[in-house]
Amino acid sequence: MMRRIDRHNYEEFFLDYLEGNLNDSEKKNLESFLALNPDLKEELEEMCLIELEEENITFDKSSLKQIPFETDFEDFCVAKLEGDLEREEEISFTKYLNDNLIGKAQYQLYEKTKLKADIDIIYPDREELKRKERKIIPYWMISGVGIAASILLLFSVWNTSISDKNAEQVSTKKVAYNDSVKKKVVITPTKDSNRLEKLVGINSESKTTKQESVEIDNQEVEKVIAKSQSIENKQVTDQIVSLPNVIKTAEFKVLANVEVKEQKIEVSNQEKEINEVPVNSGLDNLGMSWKSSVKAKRKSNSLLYAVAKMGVDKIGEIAGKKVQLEKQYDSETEKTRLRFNTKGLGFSTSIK
Amino acid sequence: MNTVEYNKSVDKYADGMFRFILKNIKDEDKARDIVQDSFEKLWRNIENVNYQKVKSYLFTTAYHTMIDLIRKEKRKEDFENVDVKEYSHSEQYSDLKEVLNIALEKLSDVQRSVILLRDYEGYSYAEIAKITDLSESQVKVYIYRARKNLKSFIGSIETLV
Repeated sequence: MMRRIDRHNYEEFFLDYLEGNLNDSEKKNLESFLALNPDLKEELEEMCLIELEEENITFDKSSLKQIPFETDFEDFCVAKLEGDLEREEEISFTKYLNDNLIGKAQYQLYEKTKLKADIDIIYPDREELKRKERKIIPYWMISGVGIAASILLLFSVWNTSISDKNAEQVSTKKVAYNDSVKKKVVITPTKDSNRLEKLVGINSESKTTKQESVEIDNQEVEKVIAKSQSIENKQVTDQIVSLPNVIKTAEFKVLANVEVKEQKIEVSNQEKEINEVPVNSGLDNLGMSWKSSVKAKRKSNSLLYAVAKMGVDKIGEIAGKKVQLEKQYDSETEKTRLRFNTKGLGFSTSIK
Repeated sequence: MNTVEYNKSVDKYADGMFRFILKNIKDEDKARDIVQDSFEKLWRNIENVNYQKVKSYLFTTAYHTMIDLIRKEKRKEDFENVDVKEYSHSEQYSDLKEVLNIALEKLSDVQRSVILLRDYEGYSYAEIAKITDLSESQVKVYIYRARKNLKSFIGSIETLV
């Protein structure tokens, strides 16, 4: 229903007109009404001139931002000192301090609370606190050195035995021709055997026991020297034969931890070796004897090598390490060398 | 950890520990004993302590040994129960270091410990919390309080001077 305009409600129409809320028919009615009431037309024109301009009013927001700093100034000071402020906070608070001299002075007091360690204070007995390093020798080193020591001992005994065997052979020959020389021979091996005993640490008791154990062997060797032997000769042979016995003892010591079987093998081989000493019946008839030193020596060496190799292999097996003992012929030097190799240790010796 | 690392730890941390304890209890002999005990404990546990964490282990051990000692003796005055006006005395202080030393003595045991760990050793809140068996927020509160107390003391002295 269309509204009707009159002098009692024209303000409402005027306002709607100014705000653009009148439709076309209402606008026509308003124009007709203004034509009939020219005084009101002037009033409408005056209303159109009133226009409020937007004022540029701003508020100092920075002062609002300072409220937290002012309220919790102390906390902000400590937070800044401890580096606990966020980057934005840090910038704002620094600006606040720069604008506020009293605040800045207070913050400077906080800065003074930073403690600095007095480096003149030192612990007086620092060295007493220290500990010496515990030296732990690796097992492989112990086993390696142990094996090496055993082999060295074996070699030294072996080399001595070879020279002793040479002496034995010479003395045997000499015994065959001249009984008087035998006395000299008696001394030499005895010295050597004593030295060996010292070397391998055999006590006199063990020596006696060993001598008894090879008594039968001694009797066998006595046949080599045959009829020309005197009672003294028995002692000589005792002592001569005692050398392999000592060697055997030394080897027993070296291989003691390996296996009892080895000792048996060695003993049987020794017995075999002694049993195989050739007896020359012709010379025997003449009261003399002769023995092939080369063959016996080779047999003895190869036997020792076999025993040593077996022992070394066994030691390596027990120690869980690669331990090698091998004989090698060098065509250039025309010599046979015995090589020993284990982890971190190796050496060789010329055996012939 | 091995013996070499143990000895390195002695070189690196013995002095710092000694300073930390000495500043707390003001007794050189006892501070030495605490350092000694801490390293003995370390040696006994050498197999279980990682070299990367040995500093924390040593300071934790030293701190707790010290706290046990303080609890036994309980001779220190709690800063928080002291009126700041008590600082108003006529004694003249020659330098800031001296003033700070006096102020430090007036802090509570916990405040002093945490602020010494913070300033002397540069520990974070989390690390101090681990050493002192406190929460991080507790550590932060103690440090803030300690700073405010120290600042009040310095301020009052400067005002007098």
